[in-house]
Amino acid sequence: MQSPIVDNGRDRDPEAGLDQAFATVAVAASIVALGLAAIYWLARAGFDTPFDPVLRSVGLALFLLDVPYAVWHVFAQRSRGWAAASYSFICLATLASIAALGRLVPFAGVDLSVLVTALGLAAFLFATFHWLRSVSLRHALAIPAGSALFSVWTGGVVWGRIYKSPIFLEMLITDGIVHHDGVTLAALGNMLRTYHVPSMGLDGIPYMAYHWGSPWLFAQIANAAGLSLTEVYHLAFPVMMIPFFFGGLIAFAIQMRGSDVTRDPVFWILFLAATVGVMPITGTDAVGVWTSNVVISESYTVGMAVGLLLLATTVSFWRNRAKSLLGGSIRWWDFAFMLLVLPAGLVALGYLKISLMVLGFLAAAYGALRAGAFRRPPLVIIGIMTAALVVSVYGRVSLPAHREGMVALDFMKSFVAPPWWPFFFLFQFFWSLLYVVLRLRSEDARNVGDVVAAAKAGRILDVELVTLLAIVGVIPGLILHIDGGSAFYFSDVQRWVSVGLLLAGAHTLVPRFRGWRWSELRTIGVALLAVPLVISMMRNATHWTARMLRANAATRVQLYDAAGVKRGPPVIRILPRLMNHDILEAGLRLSPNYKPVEGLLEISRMPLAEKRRTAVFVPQSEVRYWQMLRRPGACTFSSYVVPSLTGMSMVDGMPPVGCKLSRYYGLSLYRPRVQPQLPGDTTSAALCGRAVKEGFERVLMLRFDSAGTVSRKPIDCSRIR
Amino acid sequence: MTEPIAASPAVNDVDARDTIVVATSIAAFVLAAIYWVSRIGFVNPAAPVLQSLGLSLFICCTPLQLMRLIRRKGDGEWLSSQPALTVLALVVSAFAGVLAGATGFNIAAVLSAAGFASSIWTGARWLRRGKAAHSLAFLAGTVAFAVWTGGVVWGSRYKMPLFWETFSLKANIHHDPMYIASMANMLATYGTPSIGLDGVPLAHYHYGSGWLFIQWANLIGTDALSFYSLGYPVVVIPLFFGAVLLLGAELRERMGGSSDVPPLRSDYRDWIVFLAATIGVIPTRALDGLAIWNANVLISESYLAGMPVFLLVLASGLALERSTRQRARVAFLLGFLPLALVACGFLKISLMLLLLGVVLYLAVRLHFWRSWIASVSVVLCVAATALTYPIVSLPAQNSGISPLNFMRYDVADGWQQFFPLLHMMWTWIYIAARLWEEKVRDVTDLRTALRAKRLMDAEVLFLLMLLGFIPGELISIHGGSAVYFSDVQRWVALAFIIGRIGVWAERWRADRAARPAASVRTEDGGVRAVRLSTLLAIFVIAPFVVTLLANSVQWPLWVVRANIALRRELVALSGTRSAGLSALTDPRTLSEGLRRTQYYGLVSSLRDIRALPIEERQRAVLFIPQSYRLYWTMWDADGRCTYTPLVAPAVSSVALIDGTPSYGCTQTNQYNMTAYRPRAGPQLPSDTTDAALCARARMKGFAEVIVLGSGDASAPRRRRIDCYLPGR
Repeated sequence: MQSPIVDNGRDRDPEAGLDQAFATVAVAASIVALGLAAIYWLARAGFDTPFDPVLRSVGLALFLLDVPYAVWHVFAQRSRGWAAASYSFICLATLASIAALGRLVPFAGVDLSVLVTALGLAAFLFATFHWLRSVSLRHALAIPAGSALFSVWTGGVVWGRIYKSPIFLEMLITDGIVHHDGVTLAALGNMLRTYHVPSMGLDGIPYMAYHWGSPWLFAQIANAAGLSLTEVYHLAFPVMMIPFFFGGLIAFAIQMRGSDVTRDPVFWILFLAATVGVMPITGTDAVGVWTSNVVISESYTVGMAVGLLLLATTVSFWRNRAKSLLGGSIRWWDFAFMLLVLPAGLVALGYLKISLMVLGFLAAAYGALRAGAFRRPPLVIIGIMTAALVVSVYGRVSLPAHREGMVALDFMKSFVAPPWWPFFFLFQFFWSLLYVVLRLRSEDARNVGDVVAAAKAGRILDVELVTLLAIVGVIPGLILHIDGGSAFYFSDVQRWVSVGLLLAGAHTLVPRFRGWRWSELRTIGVALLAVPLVISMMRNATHWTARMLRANAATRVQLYDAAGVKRGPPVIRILPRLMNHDILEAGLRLSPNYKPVEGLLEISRMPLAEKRRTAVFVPQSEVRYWQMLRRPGACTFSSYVVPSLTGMSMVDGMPPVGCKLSRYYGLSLYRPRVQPQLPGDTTSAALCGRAVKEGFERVLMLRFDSAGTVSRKPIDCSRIR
Repeated sequence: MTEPIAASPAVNDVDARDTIVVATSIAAFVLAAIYWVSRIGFVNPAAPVLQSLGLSLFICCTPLQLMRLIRRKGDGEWLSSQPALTVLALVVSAFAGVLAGATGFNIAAVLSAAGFASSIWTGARWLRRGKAAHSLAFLAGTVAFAVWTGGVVWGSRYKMPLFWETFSLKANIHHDPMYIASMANMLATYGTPSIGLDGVPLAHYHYGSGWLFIQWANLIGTDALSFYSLGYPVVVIPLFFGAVLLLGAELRERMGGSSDVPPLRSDYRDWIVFLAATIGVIPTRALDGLAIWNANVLISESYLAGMPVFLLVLASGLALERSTRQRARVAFLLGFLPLALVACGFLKISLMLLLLGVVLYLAVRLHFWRSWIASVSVVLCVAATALTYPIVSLPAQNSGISPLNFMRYDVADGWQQFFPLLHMMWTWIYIAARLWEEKVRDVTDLRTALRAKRLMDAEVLFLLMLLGFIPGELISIHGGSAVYFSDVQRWVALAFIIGRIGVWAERWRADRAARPAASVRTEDGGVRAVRLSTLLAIFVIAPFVVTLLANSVQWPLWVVRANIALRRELVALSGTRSAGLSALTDPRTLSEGLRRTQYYGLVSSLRDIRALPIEERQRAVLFIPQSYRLYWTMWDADGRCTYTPLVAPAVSSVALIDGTPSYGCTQTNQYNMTAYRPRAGPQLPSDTTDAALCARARMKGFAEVIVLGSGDASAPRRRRIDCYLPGR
């Protein structure tokens, strides 16, 4: 790949700049993480908020975000050219090490979170120290301030929609109006954590083909930090993974460029325009460009970060080893990389988000073909093996219920109003189009013939790949029905790759207005045109945060009302008057789901070994349980509450008869009820019969009295037998 | 045989004016045809349609021929200019209506004949002159555009070809036409501007359009509401767009240009801009979100009647520059201009205020104080405005100071910051292009150009934009009416762009030709030679073009659907099972269905009252007791009970007595309703006795009461009370 990766001499000191650039990534991402943790903590003011989970999440975040810089600075920066020593690869390795650590904790039985936190903090201080030494005062002030503000925006997005909330459990307790993703994904993560099986645990733990990579990762994070899955989704995920994604994007740009691009104000203008947006949210939503999804879909957030870092690693490898690979002087470590890292990365992407694996594989295949890899038999064999692996993984991660056949223009029909259809491609591909135009301009390509010539000369492989990702990414949504707008996760990928590349080329690709004076009318004109865009960005930046605060106030007002204290409508300005701990606590205790949630959380504290051999049964007669979730149509997700809060599977836990079941979230793997539960179904013998068949030795029957208090009745199936 | 046009600015001007006349003629004809076709199967006399068409052609086409007839070579007096003569045609037609209403002597046929003759004569000349392909393309485009305008104006609940039938079926029509028509009717019957809910107390409102339309209705022999659905679209819409183009032509003539500029009919750039500014290149919903209310422009009769006058006055002002005779200048400054301000005030207050702003600005910029005539003119203009304002201003429309009110409440949430840019986009484009044309690059150049008065056109436009922007952002004007200030600049800018775009294009081409040719690396032909900039332009522009097409068919489709839906309902009511085309257009079936509609009897009775001799109506008032539920509850379902009283005066052209909204209905403070006291309690039987009604009627100066109350199932019962008979 060529420019913007190729340095055309406009950078001052690329060698020295890289260290500062990666330090900027580490520091800025860490401040975003700290900011998010602070927002979480503040958003819970007045509620019981132990400091410990927040601190552990911050510790893991700092470990994830700063250790790569420390390692790169100390060991790898003099080994440039070796892909395994690239910053992106070290980031991936750090993430993998956290997962490995989490996986080891249950076996080792040692709490390593303190060590991880200490290491993270030390790495953060190390990165900050090095960064402060190398930057100007202006940068030293602007980057932390900007990062802190950015964390306010990201916090607003991730917690301003109903999917995640700093007071998720309180919302569940207050009125049961929470998004079902909060319980279904926690259930999946818990099953992976407890039983090491990707399953929803509604009636045993059958394998669920799904991209369960992020729930698995979160289960390991839960182990490593000693958190519950609910805490991971609502606290650790935002604090760790959102900075990881944005840091990954910037690191991708730096690595592609090979120099410090972060000193250029244009870089940050582009970054903010691409993330916060310069068009009003209603406008981008109207054309199906969902700016908030990258932050609220945890599988996409993690997957996209991993995908970008993997791409940067691959490019790094290719840049240095392409000649050897194609020339025949292949070394064993080349094979090792191509046999292990690339396929493993693609497989990991498949488990994180299928769309990323599919697009990543196609991009890799296209790149290999264009580079002439088919002329080298070892590379062909590796390619075939990788293809076979991808096909095999696809079957393991693709939920059959999601394959709903062909529907022409399905995504547009479902999510874009017909008057906006003509603009769909223009806006979906905006960043790719911008990148392609600027790159072709930099190649001085004026007509189609020039483009063909540049492609033949291999000068615009980056343009070809961006175009490929754009076209291939948009196709699934145009021909297939993919539930819940998930086609977006195909079509949106090109945006981030293009934005990353644009950021890499911010200094060289974007036209400069050098020599323009404020007295010139063109300068005034451009400024006037920019004013509404800047205002839009500012409004976008506060939109979600305001929504988060309003939602927070709404729950607090409900609790105050429950406690008999009237505070008026839930507006942001009354938040400071809604933080009395005693009133909130009293409100919680009087809320309908308080005792059921308390009882289920109590069960979650059972020893892991006990959990692994035990299944939970809640009779259908326990309406206090089966009606905990109150959003319209939520009955189909009521079964997930036990697995998500206790970390244990249910037996005979399908929703009641008459409840309209969703086809998704793994529900299609279980048999729906065809008749009401009979007394015979709830006998110890019947329950044990089911439990033993599913591999359990005990059943824990839960009853809920009129106040919601949970009583447990353990049934030892070995005695029943 | 076609003759190529000899390229010269003068010939282009002749052709441009013919083109405008042809365009307005075609538009009027198409709109009349759509109206007539839409009514196939219903009572559908051709005479009013032809009279409307004739009136439209008289106003739009005759002035050009008259100008050519009376103008000698080299004579450039403003009085003989096409815009001034168009204003004259408007005045003549209005007074012909006054004459017809007062004496029954109707010269509509004469005016129509003149209109048809001018149109045909101009059309024949025009066809001979240009290339057949260009002419055909232009005609097809004009027809399509006229269909769009028909769709917009008839695609709402305000006006529709099947107005009476829609009203009879479910009364599903907007109340605004009732308000305007009731005022027009009170002017026609009693000579007083009022809405006539309880006698005819004086109303403050810009009732000029109501007055004008009732005169035109007299001329073509129809009633106010029928005129709103037929005459208004056929006459005023072509006039409005004609005025926009005429102002552009005047500017083109005044500012000159290259002989390379193609004639208007074949200058596709003009028409692209025209379509983009009128139909819109972004979805209608987005335009609405930015308060670019295309439908409102065509639906608001006062705005659309006022705008041509405003534009024609500006165009006449441009023509004034060529005037050489002092007497003509005096006539313009001391007579035409103050009267034009008054006329604009009565048609739409916003237009009067903006026009006064322009006059004052020009007075300052052009140093009017050096000429006593100009100074007197300014004084007269200010005095005329000051005197007119209190008559036409409805205080209730001003809801007080409210910063950024229009942007905050009438622009889609999240999009407010784009309002100054996009709502005023055409003005910005014109100003930017003029600065480029004048090679103004920095503040110093700008200062020099302003001192040299090279940018007076841009200054006026900027002023209109600024003055139009301020009212809505300072005060709260009811019902989003601030748009009638802020929207004006769009049409002036469009006219100016049309007047200048050809020159800009030539200049652009010349600049590009002067640049060194870009090196071309690939010498291949075919696809490989296609420029990337072309591909990018297609990719970027295609959505806008598709949207333009979608916008242009959206409204006409609504009209067609609504028409068919209404016919189906009537066919169903008639008891006919078939819903095929023959049933949908069968007069007997439709008539039978119409007779069975809920409000047919009521509407017919009210229209019967309108058919009474004017002398009878003048001495009478109408009383509809509150017990007549069919009438008083017709708009209860959608919360519009406060507007129900307007129906009777609007349809019958007789004022109501004791006709304020029912007790319990919240009476609006708009629509001049504050002139009437809301009911303090339910109407009592004692309020409805003949003696009580007569006492009330006599007190308000009426001699007779027509009572319309519940009758049989098919129609209400009508009776008359002569209040000067003994015992009353």
